[in-house]
Amino acid sequence: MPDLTNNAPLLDIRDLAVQFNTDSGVVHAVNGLNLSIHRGKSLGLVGETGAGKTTTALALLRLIQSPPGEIKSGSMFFDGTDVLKMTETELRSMRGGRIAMIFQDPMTSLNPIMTIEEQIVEMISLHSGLRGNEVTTRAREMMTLVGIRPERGRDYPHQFSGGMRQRVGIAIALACEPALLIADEPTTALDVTIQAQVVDLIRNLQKVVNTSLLLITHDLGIVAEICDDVAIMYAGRLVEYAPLRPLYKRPMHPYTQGLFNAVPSLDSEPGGRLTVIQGLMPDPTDLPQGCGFSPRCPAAQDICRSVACGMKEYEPGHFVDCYFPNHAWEV
Amino acid sequence: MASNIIKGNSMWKYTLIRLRRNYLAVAGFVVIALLILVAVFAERIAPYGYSDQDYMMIRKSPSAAHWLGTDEFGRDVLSRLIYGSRISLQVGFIAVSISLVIGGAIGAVAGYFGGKTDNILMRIMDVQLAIPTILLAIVISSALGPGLFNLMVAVGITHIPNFARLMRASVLSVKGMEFIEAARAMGATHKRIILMYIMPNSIAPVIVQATLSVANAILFAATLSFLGLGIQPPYPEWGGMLSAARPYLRGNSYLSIFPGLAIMITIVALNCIGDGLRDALDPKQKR
Amino acid sequence: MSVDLLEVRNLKKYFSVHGGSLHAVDDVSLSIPKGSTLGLVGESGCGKSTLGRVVLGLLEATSGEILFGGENTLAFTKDRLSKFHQEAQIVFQDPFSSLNPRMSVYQLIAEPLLINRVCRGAEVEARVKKLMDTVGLAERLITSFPHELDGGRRQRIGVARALALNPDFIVLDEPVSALDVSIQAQILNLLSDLKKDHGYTYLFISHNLSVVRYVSDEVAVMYLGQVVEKSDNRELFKNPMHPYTKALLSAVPVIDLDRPRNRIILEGDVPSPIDPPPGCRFSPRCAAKGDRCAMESPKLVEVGSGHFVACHMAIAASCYP
Repeated sequence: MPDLTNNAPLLDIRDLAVQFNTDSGVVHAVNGLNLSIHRGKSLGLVGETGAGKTTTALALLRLIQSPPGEIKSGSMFFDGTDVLKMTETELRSMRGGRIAMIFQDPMTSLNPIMTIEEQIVEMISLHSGLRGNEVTTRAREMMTLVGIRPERGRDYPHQFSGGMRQRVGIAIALACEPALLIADEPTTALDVTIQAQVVDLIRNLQKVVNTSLLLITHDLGIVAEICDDVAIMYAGRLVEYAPLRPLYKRPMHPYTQGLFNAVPSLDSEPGGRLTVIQGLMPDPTDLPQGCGFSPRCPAAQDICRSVACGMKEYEPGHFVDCYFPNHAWEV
Repeated sequence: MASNIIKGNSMWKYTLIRLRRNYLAVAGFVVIALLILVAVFAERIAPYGYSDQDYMMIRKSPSAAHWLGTDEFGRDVLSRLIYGSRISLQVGFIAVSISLVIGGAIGAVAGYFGGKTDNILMRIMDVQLAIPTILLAIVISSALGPGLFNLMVAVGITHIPNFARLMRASVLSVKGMEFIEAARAMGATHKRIILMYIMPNSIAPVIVQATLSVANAILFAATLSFLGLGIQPPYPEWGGMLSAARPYLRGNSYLSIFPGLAIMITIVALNCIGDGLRDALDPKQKR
Repeated sequence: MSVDLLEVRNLKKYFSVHGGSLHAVDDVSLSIPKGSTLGLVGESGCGKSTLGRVVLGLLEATSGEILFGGENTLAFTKDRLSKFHQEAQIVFQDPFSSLNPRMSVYQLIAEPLLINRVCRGAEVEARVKKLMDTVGLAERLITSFPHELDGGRRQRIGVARALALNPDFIVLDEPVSALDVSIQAQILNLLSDLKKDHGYTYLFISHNLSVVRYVSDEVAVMYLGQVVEKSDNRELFKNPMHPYTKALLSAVPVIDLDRPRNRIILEGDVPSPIDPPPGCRFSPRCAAKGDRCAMESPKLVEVGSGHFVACHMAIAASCYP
């Protein structure tokens, strides 16, 4: 049982498995995932398309469409309560209230026929005890906090640019002082300079509001800016998990290393070659035996292809799911 | 080698393969095929002539001699249904083909070229839509005179705007796709772009609409026949039989039940085909 | 001096929209020497994709000149234009929507050969297989359809299709933006190998500065329809002069934790490109603007060897003759 003292993590996901039963077979989207986030900390969940990042977040909010989706096993303790055992009413008050979410596309996640003040007000009156004028005052505070002039509250989403809409999304998410904020690719749809504004805003607000953050992204650069801890996901499993600095300085899993090598950098030599990870992600309906990365791994041995290693702590706080970490990549 | 597979018109080939796996659609095809056979060989199958009257047997319920009974002139209902399938199926398929081809072409041209062309064509369609269809059909058939061909033309013309609008909307959504621009960058002509890129990707909803419209056309033709503008008695036609049976609904309900069933079976079969086609035309379905 | 394959002079492309005229490309002059890559960087709506399409003749230019191998493409006859389509090709950003979902891999790659009647019969099949080999697609995929393939393979089809006609010049419009990092690296390597082997000339359009750094010989930065800075690749990254370029460079997220960061966060958003006011387009967001900036639009001026910038302040500060 998780203890309820303040040392206990805010979120503790254990052995989570999510699958989708489709016509073409069972898609194992998330397999045996363990993850925890402490209060006030931020965790970056990094992976490529199809790694299972968003599925994990949706499972946490119990928003997996069923059928075809199904949470096969595991437990998810949020603030000491098992999310999998919550009633529908408890879930509704948790979503948006205790756990809030920022979406990738700020255009489609806002209601086009409501002014943005109305949308923030709606969120506050749904999830807080505030009434009447207090609600409006709070909504205006939120707008100021994210850098929108309160008089713009009467405008509709289409009158805002992408970056401003994402600010509205953040205002709505933070309006009820959630304990956990899930940001699913919050900057992917934005331009570089606007992205910088939003990253800055999220980083600053997370400290001001003192919320925990689960940042889902494929962009290692954004994670470096915002997060305390990093989890790398591949084919439905965590492959590496560590605080930011050790992971970025000494990536150990061959996949993580490959990922870091594949990112072109501003200091790269023009016209050089990038190191690539050969091959493709495995078919999620037909995952390989043993370690999921073994078919693409330059360091794979026979044992990797029969039994996955499981998370091992190679240095304090640095967990890697690999028998042979630190394999040097041929550049 | 793969040569045959890759060079054949793969869209239709795979559509067919997918369609074959849909049992409901296959059943629909079988029913329609049987109906067409019945229509073609009506003289051989029908136990009586369509206008053979027997005044001893007026409005008799189904019996061994007359399986589906007789009507108010003592004519065999089964035989009339069998002969009637000729008219009803022809009207259904040919009228819809007329509206599909003309409406589809208008919609495709309007959607693809846009601008003035679009405006002119679609305003004409709007004007036609504003006239009540039944009124328009009456005007057309009275101008052309009664007769099977004229009936089909009248039904076909009145349904053109529906297809034009649907086709245009479908073309517009495809036109914005990047692969159209890619085709232009390769130097493809307008004709090739419309035939190879726009059509295959926008035709699906129109084909489905067409199968559903066949049923509509059969009933519409019946309305016109009822008004004396379609097929002239004594030649039978399902819709006409249905309306002729109306006064006897209470006492001799079988007179309306059997033509009704014939129409219903056709419609259900066509709807099954329509549904199956919609799924089969989607390239993302598994092969 | 190398010969310019493509030269664009004072090119303008305006769209008439509700409420005025949208200056998508406004007085742009560029040149690309044969066999080199020009990286064209900018944020969404800056007109970089429009520029690429005008250059290829997919959109009509409002005014200006486009010289391709010395010939003015805007004056091309219909016959010459269809030949030009073989010489200049494009790879699109989205490998999902740029491939006709009803065509197999074979049909997709054969299409340019058939449209331009380059070859027929068994030769088409041979050429398609050769192209698939060139871009690294396994031959067994020849009967597959785009939706059965992942993004990387689809983008390889897009590249094979562009190469089919043996072009001299290829516009790469954000060719890796829709792809995952590991796949992105594969495609970038492919593009640079192809250039080495065949001497293609690329116009590489991207919003990603790290990617542009990796592939380009020269880089041009666009802001609201205009080129604000243009220079040799290394020079631009080492010594950016335009305040927008500086802000853009500082905003790029990097994975090197120890890289010094002097982040310049730009205030506000890109203003509307519909009937823009006179003066420097960047001045409303510029921290270093002077009195002159709001009045007079700066011209692109050479401030160092091959380094052009359009900024009154940067020009005044430079002492290049």
